[in-house]
Amino acid sequence: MSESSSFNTLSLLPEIVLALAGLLILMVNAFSHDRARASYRWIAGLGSLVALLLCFQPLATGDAFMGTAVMDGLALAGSAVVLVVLLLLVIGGEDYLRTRRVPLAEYHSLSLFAAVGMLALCSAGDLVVVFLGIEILSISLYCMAALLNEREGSREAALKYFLTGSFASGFLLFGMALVFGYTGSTSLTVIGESLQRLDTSNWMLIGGILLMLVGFLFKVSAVPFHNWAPDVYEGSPTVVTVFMSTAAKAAAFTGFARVFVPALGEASASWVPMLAFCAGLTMLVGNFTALVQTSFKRMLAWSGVAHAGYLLLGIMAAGDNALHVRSVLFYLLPYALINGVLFLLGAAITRQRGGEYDLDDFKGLAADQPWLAILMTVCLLALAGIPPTAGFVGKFYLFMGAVETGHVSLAVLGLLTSVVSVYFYLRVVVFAWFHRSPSGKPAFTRPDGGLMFVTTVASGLLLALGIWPNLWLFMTQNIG
Amino acid sequence: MMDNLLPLLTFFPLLAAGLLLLIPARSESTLKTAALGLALLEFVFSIPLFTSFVAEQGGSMQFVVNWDWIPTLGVSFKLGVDGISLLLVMLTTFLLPVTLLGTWNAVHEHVKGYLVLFFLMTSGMLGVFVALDLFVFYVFWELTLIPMYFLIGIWGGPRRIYAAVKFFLFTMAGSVLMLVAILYLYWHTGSAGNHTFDLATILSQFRAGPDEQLWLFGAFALAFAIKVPMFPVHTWLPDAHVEAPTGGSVILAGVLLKMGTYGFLRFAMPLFPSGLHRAMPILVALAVVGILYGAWLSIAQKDVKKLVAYSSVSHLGFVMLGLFALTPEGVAGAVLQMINHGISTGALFLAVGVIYERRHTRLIADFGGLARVMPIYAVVFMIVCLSSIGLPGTNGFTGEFLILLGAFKSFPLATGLATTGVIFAAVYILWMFQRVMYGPVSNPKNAELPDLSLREMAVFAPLLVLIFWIGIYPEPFLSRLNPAVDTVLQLIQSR
Repeated sequence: MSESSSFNTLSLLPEIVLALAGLLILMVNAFSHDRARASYRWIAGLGSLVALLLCFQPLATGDAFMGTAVMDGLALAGSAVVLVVLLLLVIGGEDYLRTRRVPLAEYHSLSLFAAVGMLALCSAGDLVVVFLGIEILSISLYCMAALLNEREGSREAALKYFLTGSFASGFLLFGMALVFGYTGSTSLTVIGESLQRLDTSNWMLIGGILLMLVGFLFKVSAVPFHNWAPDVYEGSPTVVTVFMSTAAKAAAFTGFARVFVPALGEASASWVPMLAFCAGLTMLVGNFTALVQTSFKRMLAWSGVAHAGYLLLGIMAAGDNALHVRSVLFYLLPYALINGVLFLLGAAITRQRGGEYDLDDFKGLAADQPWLAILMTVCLLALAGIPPTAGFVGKFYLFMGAVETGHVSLAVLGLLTSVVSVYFYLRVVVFAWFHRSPSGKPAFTRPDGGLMFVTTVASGLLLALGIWPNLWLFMTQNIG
Repeated sequence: MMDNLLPLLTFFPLLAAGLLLLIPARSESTLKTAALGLALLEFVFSIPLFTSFVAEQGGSMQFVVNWDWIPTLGVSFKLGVDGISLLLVMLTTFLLPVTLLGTWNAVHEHVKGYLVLFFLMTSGMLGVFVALDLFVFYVFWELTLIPMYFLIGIWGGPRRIYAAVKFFLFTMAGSVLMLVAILYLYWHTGSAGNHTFDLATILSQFRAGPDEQLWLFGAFALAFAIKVPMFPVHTWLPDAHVEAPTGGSVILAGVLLKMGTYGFLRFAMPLFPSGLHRAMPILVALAVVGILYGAWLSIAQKDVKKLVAYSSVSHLGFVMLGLFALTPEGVAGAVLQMINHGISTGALFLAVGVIYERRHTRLIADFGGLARVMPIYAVVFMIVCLSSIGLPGTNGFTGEFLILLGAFKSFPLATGLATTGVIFAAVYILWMFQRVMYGPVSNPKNAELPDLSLREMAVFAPLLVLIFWIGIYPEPFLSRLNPAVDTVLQLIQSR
């Protein structure tokens, strides 16, 4: 009790460091000339690295600010995923940022601010902080989507994201208000405790839960609130797409688990069936729509929808048995790494052919750049959930939860739709390995060193986590 | 070293693949020589497995290792062999160097990748045969998919992409349902905190109602039936075989298909006996249909390789019939026939490869009178063909005889029908042999074909030795096999 009444600022050091780094970039940008451009990258990189290390300092655990922030295993794992993505982008995104002329200061500072929101969401112990976190991350992302503002697609993406996102926030807030009205508190712990005493079939509570569910399903791009995702992912600058589809999703899922498992777990009877329905639909719609895409970026966007469905299985299972939160957490890291690598490499590779992310543009990749083809293949196999990659262990873990909590038919549906997904993931592999370069197309060259470095490390990590899942399972051990 | 023989055997090919990666891609002959050396070394490592295996205790698992892998999930890296898996492991390590030597000149593009994939696949297959933990088994099972997919897709024939994707999707579709069943077993064995994937524990603790068993058996059986392949889920096989490079075909027919029949015997049948009994009439019917349908389609083939591919469907129908007989003779015959099929069909594909390398065609019509031009080849091919038909004195006879003997006790009518498959086999094989080998040399392109080289003779020699050894004196194999078969049958009856 003594700890929860203290302010324990130290546990929020990662957020503070990120925010300061973001502000520093803005300052440098305001008061210096063009020469300072290179420093943004260093500040952002150093900031996220320090924040990542601070996550693991012993003082970072426990409650802070009277229980509104909770630095537990869940928060730690979610934050670590966000910060790893941030680092991946700082090191691997440079080439993209330069060639597409993304405004650097704005990009780097906004991504740091978005990360602050994500970390807040990951460690939220109170509905108000949940909302704050979501808004900080969303508003930053709305702006980031528009960073290539001379391109129509980017402007459209930003507007679409902003309008739909605001609606979702409205739903979320209204739902929170109803839950607060019923339980008399915004603290997640107190809500959880009071629901043990109160009637969980009350309409106000159920209404509140359903409205919050809408808000979260939107944020994680689950059917039927998913339609924004492919357009926004496609229109946004690719580095921003990576950020949205990995870090933001990881944070949203951590927040989802934070709110629904400890606080609303008692009322799981009212939301688990709902979630099961949406999860099934998400896996079906996501995978079957991805099947007909001809653009690599859109294919990944729809596959992201499908994967939201798999992850929902984990949340759903956690509603019945809180231990299964771990499976969600475990999958977020490989998922973030895979998508990070695929989007970045996809952008670098298809650009060399002058195409706009056409799947055709991968033809002949293996002959010119075998290493790139191997990296792509490892990631695609991981996305399809084939051993010995971490993608397999992750999916295995998620489906395990579904089977344990009695949703065998959903697990079967999930696995059958992943067979469908194998087809479209393999299509890229087929183009890269089994086709020759079409005549008249330039040969592939190696992208810049930073990109090669991070994608290699990330793919290696995917294999390592597939063979020794304990490396990361250990991290998520003390959750739930 | 004997204690860790199984992990060594399983991972040595992986290590070999790593070593091959270090050799520059340009030095093709170095790569091939190194690969052959490593494959021979792997075979040498496997010899003590066979010789120090205690035949009398063939029913229990030997050379067991049990390492922690993912303790949080109840997964342990547990390996072991009984008489059944022993023979399959030996088959795998034996076919590896034979195949590499036999396809020495078949591949000239991206040789390094080709060899690396070959070794990767070997690791996967060996893992499947020795895994005693369902999670480990599933990982190895899926691991074999990727190398074969690339082998077909990169080095295959004109329709290789279609064949590779079809192969991948069929197998995947089957195995994911098995995954759900494995998860189900996991949660219904042990109690909270000590759930397990350990096969022995699941066998002793898992009890299920009849309907539950039928579903679970169905999930496992579908995965294995696709791999075998049983009618009507066999359609991926002819495509994969025809498009795959010779080496791929040999391993595919020789070893990969056995993963399906082995899976039935090791997992699906002992785990869910009542499910097995309820599905039995359908399974037996499908096995017989497979035997006859495969044989009839073989008769109609114009391409030798396709003919051999369809004959596999027929031959594996016999194996399935023997397994489902649930009699000691039937099951032992089935396992022996798995080995025999690996040897004979492997040899057939290599023999087809010999003429394909010389003429770049596999159409029966393009040949004729080869026996005059290539007399040594003709003799070798003849012996291989006869062993495939099951002529007494060759390995095929021992297996088929035991299968029919065992199956007749259980289902006489079905066995009677299946026996006609033996006759059809004689028809399609001998008719093919006649059209390819006898008669005048009608096509001038065939007139100057060189006979088997020394290398090729060295490839076929060990295969012929085994064909006669198992045909005349199968005792060393059966003595290791029989106790294991009895144990499995007891397991099925006692549960």
